[in-house]
Amino acid sequence: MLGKFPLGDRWAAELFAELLPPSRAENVHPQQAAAVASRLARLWQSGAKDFGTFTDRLRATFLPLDAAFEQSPEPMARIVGETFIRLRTLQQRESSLESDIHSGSADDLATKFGSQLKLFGFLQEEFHRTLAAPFIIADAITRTGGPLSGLLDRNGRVGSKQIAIVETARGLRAGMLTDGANRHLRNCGAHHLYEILDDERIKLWDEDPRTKHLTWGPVEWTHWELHTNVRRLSVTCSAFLLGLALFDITNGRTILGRGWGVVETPQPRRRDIARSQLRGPADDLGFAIERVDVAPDRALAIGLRVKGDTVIEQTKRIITGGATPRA
Amino acid sequence: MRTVWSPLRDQVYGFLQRTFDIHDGYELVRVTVAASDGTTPLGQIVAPLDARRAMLPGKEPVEQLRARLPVDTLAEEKIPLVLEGPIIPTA
Repeated sequence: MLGKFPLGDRWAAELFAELLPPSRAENVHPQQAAAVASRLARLWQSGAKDFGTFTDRLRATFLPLDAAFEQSPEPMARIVGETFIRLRTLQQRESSLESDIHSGSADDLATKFGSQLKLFGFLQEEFHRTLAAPFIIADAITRTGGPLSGLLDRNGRVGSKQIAIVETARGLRAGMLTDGANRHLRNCGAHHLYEILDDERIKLWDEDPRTKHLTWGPVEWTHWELHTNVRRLSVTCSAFLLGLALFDITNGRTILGRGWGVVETPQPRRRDIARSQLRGPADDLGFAIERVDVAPDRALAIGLRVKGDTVIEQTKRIITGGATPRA
Repeated sequence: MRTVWSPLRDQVYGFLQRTFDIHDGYELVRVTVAASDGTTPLGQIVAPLDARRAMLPGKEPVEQLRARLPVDTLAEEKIPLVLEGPIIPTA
């Protein structure tokens, strides 16, 4: 099997070499490597180019999980297992919201800006807080020694403030676990505290719901600035997500062997979500998705078309996006 | 950028392997492949869950994986793939 974007594979291999013990690196399944490579490629495409810093952040999320597992394997296996189960739904939601961003018409400005704010609200309220849960448990096991009960809410999430407190308490560089998190920006989308000024600009603010006094802003951002701020939190989430992936690669076999994990029968994904998620890997491997249906016998029927694209060997220059001048 | 050619079967199995987490809730997956004109059929596979799970480690040869499938009529041909990279940052 050949992939379209070998750089993602190379980054994944470098990441494994940097962070995993050699004995574990040999056990990486191709599917796990592909998932990591795909996430890294998405990071690059979204504008995060500093992989040295990202590796540092990944080290900060992964190593405490691993250390906590050494100390108290069963609670760590349970929280990671439960988080993976929650992530199945959350990653579908993430894909769906990202798909909304990419499929929106340039003429539909409400969707153009609104879809970014919707994604941000999801990242801030659901994804970041869920992904950080095993880390907060690991911190309690390895640093504070405090009780684990009460650290998570009933949806398996931690509070955004908890994440910030632990970041400081562990002496991590500011933003390692929290970069991009911004409750005011979340409020803008949730309470429609924004005004679209034109094709490229949006005014955002936050206010106290009782007094209506401003608590943040107003700020005037270009669409690119809004995109960049959303992506910052997305990168932070990716650091947590890949930390969990490395934990699974390192300890998954032991957890399975000892029966410490959380067993869940996977549920069939919704047809439209499956189609959206299959598109990227199909494209990487030389195919286009023609259809995804659920047959009467409940089988998933996937129609692929060979893209058939060829190019003459050449060097291509990639021009990345940047800030748009204000009007 | 360059074009390489890879066996269709390798690519389809690789697709199922790479996307296992997306279809592991389905007992059966049918994949039908058409040529780039969208109409010429290039065959199909029917892959039960156990056969797809066996693809995950990536250590068995393709023929061994094929033996687990009740249906595999994929054409013995190669398909083109445009490879990008390595990316060299500008100074």
